[in-house]
Amino acid sequence: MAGLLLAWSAAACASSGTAPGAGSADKGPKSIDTYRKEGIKVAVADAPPYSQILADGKVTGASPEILRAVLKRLGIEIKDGVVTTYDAMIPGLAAQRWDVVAAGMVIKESRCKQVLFSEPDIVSTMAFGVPAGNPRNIKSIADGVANKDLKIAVLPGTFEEGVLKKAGVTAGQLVTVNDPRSGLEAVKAKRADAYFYTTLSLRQLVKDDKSFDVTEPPKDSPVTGAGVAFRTTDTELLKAYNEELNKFKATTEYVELMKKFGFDPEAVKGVTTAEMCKTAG
Amino acid sequence: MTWDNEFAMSVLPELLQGLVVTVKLTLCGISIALIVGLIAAVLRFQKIPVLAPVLGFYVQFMRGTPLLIQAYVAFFVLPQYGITLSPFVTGVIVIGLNYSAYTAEVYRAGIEGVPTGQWEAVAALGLGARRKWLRIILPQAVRTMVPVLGNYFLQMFKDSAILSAITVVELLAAAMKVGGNSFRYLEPLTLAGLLFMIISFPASLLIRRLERRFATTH
Amino acid sequence: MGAVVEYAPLLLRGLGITLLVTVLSSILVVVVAFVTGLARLSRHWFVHWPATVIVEIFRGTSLVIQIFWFFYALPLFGINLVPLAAAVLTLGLNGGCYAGEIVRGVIKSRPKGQTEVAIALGMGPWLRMRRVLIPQSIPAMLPPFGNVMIDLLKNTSLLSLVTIADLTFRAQWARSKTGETVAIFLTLLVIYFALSWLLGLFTKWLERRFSLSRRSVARPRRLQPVMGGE
Repeated sequence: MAGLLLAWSAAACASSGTAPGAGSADKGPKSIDTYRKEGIKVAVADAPPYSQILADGKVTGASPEILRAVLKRLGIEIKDGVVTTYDAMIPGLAAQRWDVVAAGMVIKESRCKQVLFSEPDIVSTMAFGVPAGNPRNIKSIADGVANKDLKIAVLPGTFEEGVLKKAGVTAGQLVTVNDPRSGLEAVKAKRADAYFYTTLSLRQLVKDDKSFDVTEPPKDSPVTGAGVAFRTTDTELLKAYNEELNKFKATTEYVELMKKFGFDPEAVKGVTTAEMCKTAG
Repeated sequence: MTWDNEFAMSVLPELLQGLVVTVKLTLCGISIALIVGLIAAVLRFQKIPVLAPVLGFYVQFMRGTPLLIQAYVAFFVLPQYGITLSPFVTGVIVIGLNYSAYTAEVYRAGIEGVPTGQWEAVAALGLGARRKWLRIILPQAVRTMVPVLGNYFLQMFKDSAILSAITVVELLAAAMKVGGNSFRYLEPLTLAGLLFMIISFPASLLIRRLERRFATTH
Repeated sequence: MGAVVEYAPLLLRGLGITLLVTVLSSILVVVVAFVTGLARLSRHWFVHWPATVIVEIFRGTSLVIQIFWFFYALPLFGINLVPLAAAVLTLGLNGGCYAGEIVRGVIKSRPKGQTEVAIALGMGPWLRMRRVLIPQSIPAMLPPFGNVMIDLLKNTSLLSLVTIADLTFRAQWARSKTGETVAIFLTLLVIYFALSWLLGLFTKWLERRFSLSRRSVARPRRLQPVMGGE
């Protein structure tokens, strides 16, 4: 009865879904050919300039655009984009909710055990978003460690969260927020004194808002090399992707693309995934 | 990639902490729902010209909009008008007010359910308002109200998980947090579900017993 | 208010998903409600036990957890439903288990005499259910079913937490892009309120339509002669 009911309703629902047959029941890896035929589904964050989905449904931002350009060389198209939270990106990849994550996800040790990272495609910085004039004078991560009554807003599951925790910022000081804009609103609502996030996203968020400042990237924050993340079974895809990515990074197209979104195209030089995977956290 | 028992055991302590928050959240929410609901019901019962329709609308509105959106409004909109409360306090107030709309209706139905004969008898005996309410009407109304309220509070207990969306670190949020840190959702989510059941199942049996006990006396 | 106008087409598309999910899952709710409700009334333990277990699981745990579980954990067992199907399934099963208790409760509360008369007429258990008990029970089921449907509508907002682009998801997204938090959330409240109000009216209409009026008594359907049920 239980199984029957479940199976029956599953069948009823599958037939009523909009995109039948997406994601097969077997857990084996999809071949590159399958991706060529079916397209690829990408998870992004709503965090320009790294990644975002526009009002017309187009997936864009530096990370998805690099993904798109490289996949195009492999004959694969981005079929669908989903905005999700950082903490759900890797579990969703395992659950086959999407095939690749292109959200400027920073390469680090714990994540390297769960997903396959491409070679780094964006190397960038983090900073604090603070009320105008920086009343609490927050300039470095060490300030957060030294001053235990400082509250810092951070997105759960992000590299930033790991950096703060590892530096010794206590759990009680961290104010978790569920999406990038909520971090800013947490500071405005005085739930937090500062918001630790990527420099460029912060600048984009506060662009017209005079009540916020974005600090210089703290000197004590580590290098953040980001790449796109594939399922652990997609080794074939990863290999082909990296080959094309390395070629792509040498082109002027890559340089233009990075400049367009405000990133430094030089920063990525010499940074490797193998090295970044040693970053603890 | 299936069940990892060792991992499940390792996340249990953090989930139990989340469960404690969930229970606290529910108990505080129940208190608000009981009190605000009573005020709303009594005021509506007085049939005060302007207030009665306003309260009627309040009940309709709270019942007609999703708890999630109410929580978002309280959490994101109120601070823009200078009211900033912690996620927990915001959560308690929102869920308490949300369920006050339901408890108000329960009170109303309970009081109206007391047979007319009883009201007439009270009038005939010339009993004062205090004795009328405390001795005659409420004791009878409570009998029918208790199981219904119980069911709503059980529902509130389960609904409190919605408040994870405004970063209250209750059971579901705790599960998502450990899940996010370890990149595994299966064990934390399943355990969170089990923990909800461990409390809600015995509670529902208790409520059913109350239902039966009170039902037979009529 | 500018953001609401600017993003109106997207919000409308989100509204479309909200309505689609509501309609599809409400169909599933009705089916699951009758299956579990009737199964739990069965005299056979192998029918009512599994139904009871399912109902207790869905009623005992939180819907949000079920949504997350169906979305992120179920695929690990090789059951890979598209997001919309997973959404409809979760809402349908959850709502159906609540509604199933309504079905069971109402049918159980029918006067004993009805069953006795039906037995005396030689009707089997299934025919009794189909021709006597269920038709009589529908008017009593409609108001609580209406509440289940309104809950269902409200619960679709939870799907925004698992990347389903419903009204709430689109609104969150518009808010993220524009920062016009107040206007967008207040618009959401109004839309959901209007929808549940309409759903309430629809239920009222159904109640009138299916009330045990004299008209329907005046045109009784003739029973076919039966031998021990169908």
